[in-house]
Amino acid sequence: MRVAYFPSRGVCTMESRTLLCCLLFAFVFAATWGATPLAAEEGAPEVRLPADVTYRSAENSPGPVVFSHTVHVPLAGDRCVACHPALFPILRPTEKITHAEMSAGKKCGACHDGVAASGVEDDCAHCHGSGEKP
Amino acid sequence: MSVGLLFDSTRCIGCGACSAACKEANDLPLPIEDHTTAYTWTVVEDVGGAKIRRLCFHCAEPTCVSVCPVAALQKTAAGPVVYDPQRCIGCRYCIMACPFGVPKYQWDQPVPIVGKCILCAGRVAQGLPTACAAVCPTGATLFGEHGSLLREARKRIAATPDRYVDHVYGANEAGGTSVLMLAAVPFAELGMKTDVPRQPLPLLTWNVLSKIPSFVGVWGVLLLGIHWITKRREEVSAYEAPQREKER
Repeated sequence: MRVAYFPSRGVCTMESRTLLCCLLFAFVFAATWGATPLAAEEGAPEVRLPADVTYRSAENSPGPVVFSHTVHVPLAGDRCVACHPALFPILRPTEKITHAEMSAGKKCGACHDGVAASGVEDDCAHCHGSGEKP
Repeated sequence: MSVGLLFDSTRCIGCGACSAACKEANDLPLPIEDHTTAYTWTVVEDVGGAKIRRLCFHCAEPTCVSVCPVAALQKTAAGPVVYDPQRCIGCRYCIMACPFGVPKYQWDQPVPIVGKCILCAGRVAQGLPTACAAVCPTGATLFGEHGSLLREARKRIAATPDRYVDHVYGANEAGGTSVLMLAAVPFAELGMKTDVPRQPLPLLTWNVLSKIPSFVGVWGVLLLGIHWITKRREEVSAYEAPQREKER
């Protein structure tokens, strides 16, 4: 069925009207979206987390460990105090983490105990050279 | 140049990094308590969803410094109100005097002293920002020169007036403080004291105390003088008494 949009001119068909509407909608949507990026999160503070930390590997290590704040901070409920400063200093970098202290419930071992999170003796590749980062 | 902090409540996510860094920088014992104590110098409190930091405001003219009988508290030129635990005698006068209720007492110690935020005076002297500002992941706590922080605070209110209440807390409170705060809700609702006088509190006592040396000096000389003259007249009169008897 062909219905004239402007009957006097008789140039707009149903198809062209639909196309026009779609284009108009797309234009308005793009304009609004482009003008206010992250409109849904307006006013939410921008969080700049520290860069990933690559720990130096010990001898016989299956691979270097890369720690990501981006992964861990949401898991800790956005609470820096979940780990700092009781487990790790916040102002100084942690130079050394041993499996012995982790097994004793310190450092990573406080959460990675096999209950709250995967245990530190369970799967080497989970932390060591998991392939996410060199 | 004096330094300070600008805390923007609307940018705070309450992660507690400031408390953690404070503990570490000042060698304070764990745990991080939920309110400020002699061992926890700053905390972030959640008041109905709004975040507010508790810490010393580092007044331009601090009442605690004014009242301390042993000068354990000092206002440094750089901005921090520092505290010497070696001098403190634990009299708690500063706790009574502080208009913001900042200094806290070591109630668990047999010989307690006071504890409070010292604006990382050691770090500041080395040209570093305070520990809390250094670790803040959102920039809610900014460290900088006091004047530029105050301008930044006013600029933020002017730029986005619907985001803030029109009040820079600390700009005028107790005669102005080194720590400034911005918030989306009135500060009274965040548990901040809004009845703090606008003029420096040490002025109240200084107006009296400053007159005491001249008061003592003038009245001392005057009264001693009267005493000397009176005594001299009595001595002369006693000395001349026999002569007057003879002449009679």
